[in-house]
Parts: sequence; structure tokens; C-alpha cells
Amino acid sequence: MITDELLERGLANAAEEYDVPADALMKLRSELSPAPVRRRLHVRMPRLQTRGRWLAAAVAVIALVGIAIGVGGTNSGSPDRNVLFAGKSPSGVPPKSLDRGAFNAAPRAIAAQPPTTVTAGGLVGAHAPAGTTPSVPSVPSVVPNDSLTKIISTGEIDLQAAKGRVHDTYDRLVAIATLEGGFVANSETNEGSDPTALVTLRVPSSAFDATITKVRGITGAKVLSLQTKTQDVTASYVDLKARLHALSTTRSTYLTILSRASSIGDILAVQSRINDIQMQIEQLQGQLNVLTDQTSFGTLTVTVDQKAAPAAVVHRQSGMSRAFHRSVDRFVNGTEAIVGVVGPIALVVLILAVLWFGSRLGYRVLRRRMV
Amino acid sequence: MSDDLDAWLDESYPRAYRAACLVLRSPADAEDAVQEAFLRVWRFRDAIPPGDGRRAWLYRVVVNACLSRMRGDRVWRERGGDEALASMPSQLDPQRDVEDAELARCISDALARLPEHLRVPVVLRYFSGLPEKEIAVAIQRRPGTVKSRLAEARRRLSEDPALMAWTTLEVAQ
Repeated sequence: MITDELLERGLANAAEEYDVPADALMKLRSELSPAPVRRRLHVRMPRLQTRGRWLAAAVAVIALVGIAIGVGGTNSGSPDRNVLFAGKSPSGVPPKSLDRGAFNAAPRAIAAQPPTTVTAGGLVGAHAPAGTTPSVPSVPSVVPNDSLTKIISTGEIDLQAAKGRVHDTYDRLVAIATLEGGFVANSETNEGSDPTALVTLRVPSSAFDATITKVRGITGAKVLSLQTKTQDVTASYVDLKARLHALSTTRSTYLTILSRASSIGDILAVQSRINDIQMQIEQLQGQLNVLTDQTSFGTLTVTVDQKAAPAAVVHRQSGMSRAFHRSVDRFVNGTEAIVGVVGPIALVVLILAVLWFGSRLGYRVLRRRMV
Repeated sequence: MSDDLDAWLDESYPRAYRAACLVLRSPADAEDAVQEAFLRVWRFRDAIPPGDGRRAWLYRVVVNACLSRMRGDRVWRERGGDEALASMPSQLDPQRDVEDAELARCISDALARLPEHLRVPVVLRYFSGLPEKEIAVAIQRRPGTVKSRLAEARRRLSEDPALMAWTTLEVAQ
């Protein structure tokens, strides 16, 4: 029988006939390391790998540019202007209808809220903007030059209606809003002996001043206070639009790259970037929609209450009477303070008691086990 | 590549390559098989078992690469003993001991005539120096199977004409 030593010797000798190729390890390293290594022997690389690297590099560059544009940009708005008692909000340039031509919404996920159509009868409904088609958006070469002024107008009015006329005043307010092309966004009424009403009116920004004038002129209602506020958000609006435009451009580029990607890895990488971009677009579009709504319609909050009954006659008190009443008040206050403190003290005592009993019990159990 | 893994692969490559040459009987095929095996090792480097287990794991990957090569290559199947012998490097290093060279030739010849399921355990045991347990991991069989295959391989090699003289010489000594 052949021995193990013979086999080992024989195989070792046989193996020595085979020289390890000098460049074998180098070839192996070049396959494993990310940076290509100059090879002495020609190795046929699949074309897809080289293209994949270029695609990955292009995606990385575009991602950096997209992030820089999407995250950058600052919101700036002009300082608020508070005006009291018949201070006028600046008329400015009446806001025009929003120009949507530059941003053709893609069908998939741009949650663009359609503009609302308002008539004298109030809010009638919403319709989709014309011209949006479910296709890959065309890319304008430059950001559209928009010189619109965007103003957010808000106001608060306190009205005091004559006795029994709170409800009539409320009806009048609703009618004013409707006539001015607005609507009642919120209303709250309290019936009873002391009725009140709280109404939030949304009227077109162009009719904001006229609405305030009419509210102030309601028969049987006295204006107790009036406060209006305007905020110029033109810069924020333009910034949002610019960022949306940039992201849309980036998304289009990614879609083009995606159509050319051939490997699963590349497709997944590009798709991931597209998803991120899409999310950013949707967020910005949402912000733009809010801003559009706020600048298209001014908000006027009107509080209506009833004229108070005449105050009861207060008899003047003597010094002793005042002192007595003061003493009673202080006694009550002192008692309230003591009662207020008892609660927390009781809680602390309770916690300490639980801890103490718990430690005693644990000590007894431990002692029994050790014995 | 991490330094530790890099050093280990550098150290293991020559032996793995030569083992593949003994199994496949072709340096070109062995180089391709070992390259493929090491790429797989790199790809699944997180699965490399720690300590001594990694040698068996490495040889398992190498053996699988060799077997894949053998089963997929029709030209290889058709090689008989003489052709296998012809694929062995014919140029002998003159400085090597003549006896060793002759033994090497006889062993290679006999090895070529062994079926693959016997050849692989022989190479792993007597060239790579793996214990039976590690061979079992490498070829994915039970240790008992490895033992019986080694025994069968030794029996066949002992009866091989090329090695008959050597076994007789051993007995005489």
C-alpha cells in the first residue's frame, strides 16, 4: 500500500511543476479593488461595467447639484406691518392669477391643488388647471421672470352689536363676504342671554380693504377695535418657484439617465434619486400652494358680541369694611395655597414609603436566602 | 480590501492555485477557477468563518470552482490519461532531483486516472494538508465519507501501474 509520506512528497513535487503566475495576484486585486489597475495581460471587461461607472459618476454629480439647489435658498419676507384702527393695508398691485405655464405638472405625484373658482354665490368648486398633460415635462431653459407681488393680508375686527342684533350682524357679515367674492371659512356662534359670534371671512386680496370698509359700516354694530396686518412674501414665492423649477429640471435629467441605464444597480440608484427629488418637489409644491392660497385670499376675523347691560351701582365701602373684606380674601388665598401644596407633599411621601417598604422586604428575602 | 483579508488571500493563493492545478491538470483552467473562487470569497467575505475554519471554507470555494469548471468543460471530460499527461509541463527543472521529478510525473499520471471524487480529497489531504474534518467541509460530505474515499484512493493509487514501482520500493526499504 502506498504510504502517506510518498503521496505527500509526490504531490508536493508535482505541484512544484506549476508556477504561480506572477501577475495572478495583481489581476485578482484589480478585480477586487474599486480603482482600475493597469493590467499587463489583456482582460476582456464587459462594456456595461465601464458605462455603469460613468452613469454612477453622472448620477452623483447631478445629485450634488440638485441637493445644493433644492436645499439652498432662503425664505425672506418683508417685515410685517401692523396697523390699528382704520390703518390701511397697502393696495399694491392687485394679485393676478397664478401663471402655471412654467410648471407643467407630471401626472404621477405632483399633488398640485387646483385653483378655486369663486363667484358671487360663494365657493362653487375647484377645477383642474387647463393645459396639464400627463407626459414628461418639457424643460424651459431659464427660470421664468415673475414680477408679481405676493401679499398676505389678515385682519381682526371686534364689533359690538346692539342688544339682540348679534345674529343679524352675523348674517350681514356672511352677505358681505359673499358679495365681495369670498366665503366664510369658519364661524362660531353662542346663543343665550349673552350671545357672541366669531366669523372668519376669506375674501380676495383685491377686495380686502373694501370688505373691511363694509364691515365697519354695518348698521347697529360699533367697531371696538380693528387690526390689520400685511406681509410681503414675494421673495419667498419667487424662491419656491425657482427651486421647483430647478428640481423639475433635475428630475427630467434623471429620467433621461434612467431611460439609458441598463444594469439593475444603476436603475435602482437613479430611481432612488428620482424618488428623493419627487418628494422634494411635492413638499415645495405644497408650500407654494399654501402661499398661493394665503396671498390670493385675505383673512378677516370678526368677533361680535352684544352690548353689555348697564353696570350695577357699586356702593362705596368704608375703611373698616374694606379691611374686613381684604382680610377674608387673604384668609381664603392662604387656605388655597396650603391645599395646593398638600398634594405634591403627599405624592413625595407616598413614593418614599413605597421605596422604604420595598427595601425592607428585599432585605428580609435576602437574609432568608443567605441563612 | 482590508489588510488582514488581503494578507490571508496573498498567503493562500499559491497553495490554492497549485491544488487546483493538481485537480484540473491545466494551469489555465486552474488560474481561472482560483480567480473565480477568490472573487467569490471577496464577495462573501462577511461569511468567512473565523480562525481555522476559514481554510476549509476557502478550499470549499476553490473545490466548487474547480468542479464547476470540470463539469462545464466538455473538452476536459474527453481528456484521457495520456492527454492529461501531455498537459503537464514537460520541461523539468534540471536542478531538481531526478527522482523527485520522476515521482512527480508518476503521481500526476496516477492522479489523472483517479475519478474526480477521489482525486479532490487526495489533493486536499496530501497536498493542502487539510485534516479529514476540514476536507469534509470543503467537499460538503460527512467525515466518514471522506475517510472511505481516501482509503479507496490510496488503494487505487497503490495498484496504479505508474506507482507500482514506488510502492514496491517502499516495501523493500
